[in-house]
Amino acid sequence: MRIVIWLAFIGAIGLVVWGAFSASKNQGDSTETGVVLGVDAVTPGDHTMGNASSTVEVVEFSDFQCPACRAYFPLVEQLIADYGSNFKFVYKHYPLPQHAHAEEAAYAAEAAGLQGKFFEMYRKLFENQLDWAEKSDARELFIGYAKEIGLNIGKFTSDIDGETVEDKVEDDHSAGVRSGVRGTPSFYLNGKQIKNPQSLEEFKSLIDKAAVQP
Amino acid sequence: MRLHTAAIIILGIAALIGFADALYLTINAFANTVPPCLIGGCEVVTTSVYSRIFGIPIALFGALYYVTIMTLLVMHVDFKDEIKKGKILVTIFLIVNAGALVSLFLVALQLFVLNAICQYCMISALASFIICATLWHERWRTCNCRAEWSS
Repeated sequence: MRIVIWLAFIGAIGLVVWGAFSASKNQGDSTETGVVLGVDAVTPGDHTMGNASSTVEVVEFSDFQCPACRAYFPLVEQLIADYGSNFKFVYKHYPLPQHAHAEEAAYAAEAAGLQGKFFEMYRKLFENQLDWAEKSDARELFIGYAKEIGLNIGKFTSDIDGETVEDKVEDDHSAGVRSGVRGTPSFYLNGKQIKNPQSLEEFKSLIDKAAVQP
Repeated sequence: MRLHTAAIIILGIAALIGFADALYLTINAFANTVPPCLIGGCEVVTTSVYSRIFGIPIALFGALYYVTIMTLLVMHVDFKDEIKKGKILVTIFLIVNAGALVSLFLVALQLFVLNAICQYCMISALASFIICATLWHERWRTCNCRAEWSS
C-alpha cells in the first residue's frame, strides 16, 4: 500500500512535468500568431539596423524597462551581428504603464536619436536596465549614459523633455495598439506577428524562410 | 488526527493543478515567453518587475510550494504513527496559511497595482485558497482539534 501511494505520487508529478513541458513546446510549434502589423506602423522616422534595402523586415515593439525585452536584447544584437545583411530591423517603442521609467527611457533614446545615436543609447539602456529601473529618479543615470556615448548634454536634456520625442514615442505606441501588441517584446516578420523565437538559430531560420517566401 | 478521505482528494487535486499551472509559468518564464491567454493581461503580469525575486521567477517558488504540499500530504497518508501524522498536518497547515497570504498579496498586486489579470496566476491563487479553506474546514470539523492541530 505504501509503495502504491508513493508510486502514484511520483507518477502524478512525472505526468504533470511532462504535460507542462509538452504544452510549452506545442505553443511554440506554430510560428505566426495571426496578428498583423497595423497600416503605416513603420514610418521613415523609425530607427533601423541591418540591411535597409532587404525585403525581409523584422519589427520589434519593445519597452526599455521590460525584463523580457532585456532578455531578448543580446539575442537581437547577435542576430544583427551575424545576420544583419539579410534583414532590416526596426525598433518601435511600446512602453508599458506599469514600468515607471519606461516612457522616460524611450524619450532618452529618442533624444539620443536626434543626435544620431539612438542605438548607442538603446544599448546603454538595456545593458544597465537593472541599475535605473528601480531608481526613484532615473534621469541622472540617463544623462550619465548620454555623456558616455558622447552626446551634447545641453541638447540632450532639452530634447528629452521636448514634444518631438514625446510625439515619436506616442506614435510608436499607437502603431503598436493598431498592430495588436499585447506584450513586450512583440516581433513582426514581414508584417506578421511571430511567436517570440526561443533561440538565435530559430530566429535565423525564420528570416531565411521569409527571404524565400516574402 | 487524520484528514477525511474527501479532503485528501480535494487537497491532492488542488495541489496538482497548482503545481501544473506554476510549472507551466516557470517554463515560460525561463524561456522568456508569454503563455497564450484567453483574457488579456498575462504579458503585463508575467513580465512585470513583481514576477521575479532576485531574478528568480515567482512561479518557480509556486511550483516548489505545491510539490512540498503534495509530498507532505503523501507522508501524512503514508505514516502510521498518529503523532507523526499530526505533526505533518500542523506543518502543512502552517505552510498553507502562509501560501494563501502570499497568494492574496499577489492577487492584490494584479488587481490594484498592475491593473491586469493573468489567468494562470489566478488559477494558482484559487488552488492555494481551496487548499487553505479545505484545511480550515478539516480543522473545524474535528471536535478535538486543539491538542492535535496546535501541537
